[in-house]
Amino acid sequence: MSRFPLLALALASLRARLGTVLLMVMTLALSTLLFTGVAKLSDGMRASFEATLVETDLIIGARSAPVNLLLATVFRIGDPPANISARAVRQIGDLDEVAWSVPLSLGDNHRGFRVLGTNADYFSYYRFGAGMPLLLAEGRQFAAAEDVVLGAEVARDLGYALGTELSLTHGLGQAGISDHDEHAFRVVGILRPTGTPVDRTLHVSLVAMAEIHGQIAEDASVSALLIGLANKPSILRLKRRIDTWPDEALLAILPGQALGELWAVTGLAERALLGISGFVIIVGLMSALTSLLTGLAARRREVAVLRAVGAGPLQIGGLLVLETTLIGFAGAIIGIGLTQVGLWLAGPMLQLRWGLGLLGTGLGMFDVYVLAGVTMAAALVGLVPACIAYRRTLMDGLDIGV
Amino acid sequence: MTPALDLDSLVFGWPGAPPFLAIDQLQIERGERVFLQGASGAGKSTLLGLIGGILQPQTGHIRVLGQDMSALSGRARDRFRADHLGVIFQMFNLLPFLGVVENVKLGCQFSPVRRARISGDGREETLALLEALGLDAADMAKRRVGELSVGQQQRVAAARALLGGPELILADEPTSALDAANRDQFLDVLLEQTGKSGAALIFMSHDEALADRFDRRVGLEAIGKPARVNPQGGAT
Repeated sequence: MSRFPLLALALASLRARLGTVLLMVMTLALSTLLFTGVAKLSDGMRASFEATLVETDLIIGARSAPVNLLLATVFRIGDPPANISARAVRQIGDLDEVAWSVPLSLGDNHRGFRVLGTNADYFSYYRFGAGMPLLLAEGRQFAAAEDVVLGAEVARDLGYALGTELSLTHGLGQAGISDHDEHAFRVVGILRPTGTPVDRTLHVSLVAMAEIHGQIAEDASVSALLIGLANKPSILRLKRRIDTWPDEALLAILPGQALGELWAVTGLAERALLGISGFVIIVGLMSALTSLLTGLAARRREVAVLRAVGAGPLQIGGLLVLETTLIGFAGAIIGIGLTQVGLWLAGPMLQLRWGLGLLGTGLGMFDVYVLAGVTMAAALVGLVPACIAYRRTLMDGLDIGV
Repeated sequence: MTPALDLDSLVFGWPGAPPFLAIDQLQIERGERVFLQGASGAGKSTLLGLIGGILQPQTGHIRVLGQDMSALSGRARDRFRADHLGVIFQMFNLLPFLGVVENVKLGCQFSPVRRARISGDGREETLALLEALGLDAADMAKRRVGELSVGQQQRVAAARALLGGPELILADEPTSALDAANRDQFLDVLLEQTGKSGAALIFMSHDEALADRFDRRVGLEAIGKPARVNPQGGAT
């Protein structure tokens, strides 16, 4: 106790009421954990969704809701309702504006993992994260009809290695449900982990896909096309052209725009969750206020003693504000720390169980704002007992209140 | 030298109520040890608040060490109290969350003037004062204030009031919670130490039996006007 008497007094007073203080700190820490946790999870998922497929200008599929097409093609959730004919695929690929197109054929399954029929262009043009290409951890791309290239998670989960023989099933169910003719495949390549649904996908050639379905590759329809444009400004014109395709009902989506539509839907729920968890912080502060006010009567004598040794009403009020500010600061710091620990522990589990990668959930400006916000809110709450004590010091004089 | 305390035509009352305390004249010289006798409820604590600059009189003057308290701002009065006054209450003098030594040092915490008079962090002076007041300083330094007897607590409070050499010590019924033996011992060491420090002492008590130990005895009723009016408005 010397240079900052109020701080030293506040710390000593908090230490003396450690039990109550710890409860207040933990209440605030847990509500801060909830708040930052909700925010980080939704931001992390958003960032990870947005990084799943980049540098693809348009996704084309049979006409359906844009969000459906996006979920089916990029996130491998659900199936496109219909296919694009082989003829349309050829015509679109031949358009001048189109620099490259990658066909995607979805709808099959292997032991719970999606099977994607595509061609070698997929490995050349698919980009994720900050423009990273798909790289092989071992082996090579598929060449023959019985070759299969595994996503990192498929290989790890199923224990497959190069040369492993497997058979593919037609349909969505687990092996055994709606069994098709079994076609034998051999693992020729395993991709490096990407943190995207690619990790949970088995890649085969379109030829193999057609064979499974008893079709000839040249005539086989596909689920969707990923399109890269030669000339970016032509994107809206091309989209309109696809949307009004004369021979069949097609739909072209801009991945970013479709994601935006998805966020518009989920954003409402996110905001509601964030709002609720914000209220939980307020409830935490209110309960802290309750115990502060309960304790205030017992501190009347402390106040008289401090007044006697020369503390002014402002210093008395400042002491009380300082105490709640310290409680708020400690609660927010612990809450933010717990969030980081929680994400660090739960991150791999989320990735494993639901394939949810989280991006950008480390400490950032958001945490600084939360820390400042909770601390300032606690200081405001501290103003209530401080004002009461301030007024009382003026009324009580030096009455110790025996 | 200006007197330690000079009260002149003092009238105090709570806002909206009739005057509660009125004192025509009271002068206390520097170093003088005065027994201020008043029944409980006679306004001793109010007078303490007035001298300490926490309460403000409606009319009249309070000069402490020559300083007119009414001329000072609230902050300046707080500062003045920290620098020049030591206060001992009847009980509950100590902050329960501080140790014994920290409680004593609290006396100088809000006063750079008094801090300047002690060396270093004041621990030595504190222990010496505790020892002089009849406490086992080494033992006290290890104790929590909650473990102390009331007699010990009052001595610790006296040490706090004396630390850093303030010119005026105000004691409000400091012995009324003590038994006779403890009371006499406390009075001995308090008078001895204030005598040594040269501080004036205003010892407020209802217990006339103690009055003989002091330089002078003043009856609050004798110097106060008949201003005993209860809140209902009837004279008592």
